[in-house]
Amino acid sequence: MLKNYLKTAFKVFLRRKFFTFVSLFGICFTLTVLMVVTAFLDHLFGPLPPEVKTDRTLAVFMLHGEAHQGENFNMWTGGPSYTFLDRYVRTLPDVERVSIFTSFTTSVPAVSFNGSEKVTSHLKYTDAAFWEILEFDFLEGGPFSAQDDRDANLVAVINQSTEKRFFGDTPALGRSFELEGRWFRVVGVVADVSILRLTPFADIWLPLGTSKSKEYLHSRDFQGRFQGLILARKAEDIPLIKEEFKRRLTQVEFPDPGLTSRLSGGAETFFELVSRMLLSNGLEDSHPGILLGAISGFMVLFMFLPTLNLVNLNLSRMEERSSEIGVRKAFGASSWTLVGQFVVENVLLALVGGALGLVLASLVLPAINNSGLIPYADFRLNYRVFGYGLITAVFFGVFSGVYPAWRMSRLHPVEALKGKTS
Amino acid sequence: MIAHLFKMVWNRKRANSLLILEIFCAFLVLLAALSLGAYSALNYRQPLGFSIADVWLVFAEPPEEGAAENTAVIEQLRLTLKGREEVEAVANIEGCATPYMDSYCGASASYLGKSIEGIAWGRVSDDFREVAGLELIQGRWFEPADEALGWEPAVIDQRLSRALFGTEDPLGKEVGGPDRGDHTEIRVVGVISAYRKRGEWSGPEYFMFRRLKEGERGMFAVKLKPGTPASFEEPLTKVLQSVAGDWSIQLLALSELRGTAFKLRLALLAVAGIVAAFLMFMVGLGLLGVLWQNISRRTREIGLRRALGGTAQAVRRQILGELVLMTTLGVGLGLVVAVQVPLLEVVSSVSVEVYACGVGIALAMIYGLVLLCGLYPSRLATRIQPAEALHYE
Repeated sequence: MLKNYLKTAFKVFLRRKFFTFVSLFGICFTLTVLMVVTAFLDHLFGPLPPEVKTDRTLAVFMLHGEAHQGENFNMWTGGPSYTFLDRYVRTLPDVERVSIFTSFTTSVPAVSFNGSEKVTSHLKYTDAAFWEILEFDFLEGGPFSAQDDRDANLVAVINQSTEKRFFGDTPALGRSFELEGRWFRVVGVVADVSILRLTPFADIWLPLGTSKSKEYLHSRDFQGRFQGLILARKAEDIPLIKEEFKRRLTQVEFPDPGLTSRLSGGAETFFELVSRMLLSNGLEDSHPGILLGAISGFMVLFMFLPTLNLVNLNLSRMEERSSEIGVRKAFGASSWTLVGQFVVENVLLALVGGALGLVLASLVLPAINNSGLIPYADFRLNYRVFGYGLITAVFFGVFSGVYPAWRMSRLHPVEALKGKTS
Repeated sequence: MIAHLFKMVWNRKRANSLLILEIFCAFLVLLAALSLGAYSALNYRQPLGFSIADVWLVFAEPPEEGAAENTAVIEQLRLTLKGREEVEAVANIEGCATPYMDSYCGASASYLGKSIEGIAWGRVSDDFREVAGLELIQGRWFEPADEALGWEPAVIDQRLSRALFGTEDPLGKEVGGPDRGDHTEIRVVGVISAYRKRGEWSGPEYFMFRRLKEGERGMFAVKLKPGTPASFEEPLTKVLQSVAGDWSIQLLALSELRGTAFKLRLALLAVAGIVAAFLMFMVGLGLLGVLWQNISRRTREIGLRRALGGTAQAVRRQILGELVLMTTLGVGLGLVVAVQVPLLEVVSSVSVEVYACGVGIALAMIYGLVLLCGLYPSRLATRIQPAEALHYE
């Protein structure tokens, strides 16, 4: 049965090539855009190395502080300070590991010179636990140790591109480079990490102990330039940790109530952070469900116009098919059978369009990667993106096929055979 | 004639209502893309008020904030910078006053009971005017003698001056508002033409400069002599590093700071434009297909009209007339929705003029697109021979 449907569909597609082209163009273009968007979102939020243990990691990215003093009202939104993380996050009970490191968003890139060439790098000062929570892909050597951090040893882990900039094509392991007047020895080289992955991203990772500014150690302020990362023992512990962190925020002792007397924030995933910042400006609880709904809603809305276009095309092509419908009805085909057939045709068209869209997207994505707009961006079609694309294509086919098919199937056989359409 | 067209459209209301819905959606998409484009283009053409050519930033971060010797080191760094032959001018600056930097300090200001919200402010030292090439149109800029004043001087941009003081002379007037630091009052001493800190793509904003004492912040804006070769950077970094041994010293060209955000914004606009253009192309092709199909379905009707003496011109006018009518219905619906945007102030940053401009262009483009798609099918309709059409029955 299906084979016959496919055969008919194929013949119909070939009969009027202009219409087939218009339909395919619409589907293909729409799906390309959707797949590029999906690849982008996956790159931003999906579990990609080095962040592979997403089901049991939480981060403290942002805090929001408020203070009321008489008439004055003070508030700030920013990263937590080292002091805060050390006191209230590192001491969380029943977690496997906690790491504290400088956040990317506040740092100005460091400039070094390699001969006459200028090398600009983003630095991240981290502790040793960082390397245990995140699984970096080490090409050479390995991470620095807790000992290095304590002793402020001048060692560094660098990414592949930085290795190339400093040392050319020769291995960097054990060699040294100059950074802000000091010489650091390379102990490890890792694959590039995209700038959009805020937690792991840097060009050069250095032990926290080597930071020139020691301010962070005794600043009493809760606003700072750090980020905390928590690894739970098992995924089931995640809600408990979130609870505990929220509870601690209410019990914080404020060193300077004039600056901060109320804190809000959360131990959360990056997606939860983004939804909190977008939906409530960082003040209230995060509602990742709403953001997810908004993204899906936007995608459906984007598909609406192309779908409408396809529905209109399909409707106006009813005439061509009216004699076929008449014959099939006269020979006893039910309306449902006909609806099934037309939907199958549409889904087939959508799948062909989807395949073309996939090819197009696989051409567009490397072009975006190579444009240099987003450093180390690596948008890729992986099986997740492919899966989403497939679902959208089928959805598209069914969505745009059902109404015209229903209209077609309702034709009276006698009228249809005479060539009338409405 | 129009009543007749309505009847023709009404006769095929089901199929036509879907077409009208499509035109409605296309209009809204086009309107959104064009408003965004018009908004960006208008902002881009506004004067920035400063020049970033040959301006570099120097960040000097001490090992210990608030340490006693910090001020002396910053002063040393400033003198070192000033002494370099490639340097034209040096000023202390804060993140909140630095163009293209994310830091933002906001406040409200009031004058005679009138309050203005959302004023960005930042502190700079006396030489900043020279570094950034600010254009003073009234009053004066900060000067060393301001140190001894009993109040705090401020320089505001022209837009803020107009919003706060109207046609009155702003000089010497006191503004209430931002937290006042050591002084009890802030007075306007000068007005500059503009200072759009967030750069070319940002909407109109208010700015207020406040005075920064030299040596208070370890951040400098440095104006180089035009034509300084790029090789100046390495020796300068080394010298500064040797002056402030355990400090963290970083240099950054302002153009580099501008570069990333600027390029991303441009890319975003380009993507929005390309997507909208492709959507319109798709709608156009679809419309062409539908109209074409409709003409071949209406062969009999048109043939009959020709047989009864209707001219080719009349037939053509009818086909295009129906199309224009449907477009008007779709666009009319779209306008009802579009008017809500300024009425409900959904997007407050886009002015009504910009929006109206977007609506106008969108209207012209939709009608143009629809008529273009109708041309070929309507020509086909005129070619229908009465004999051939009547022979159908």
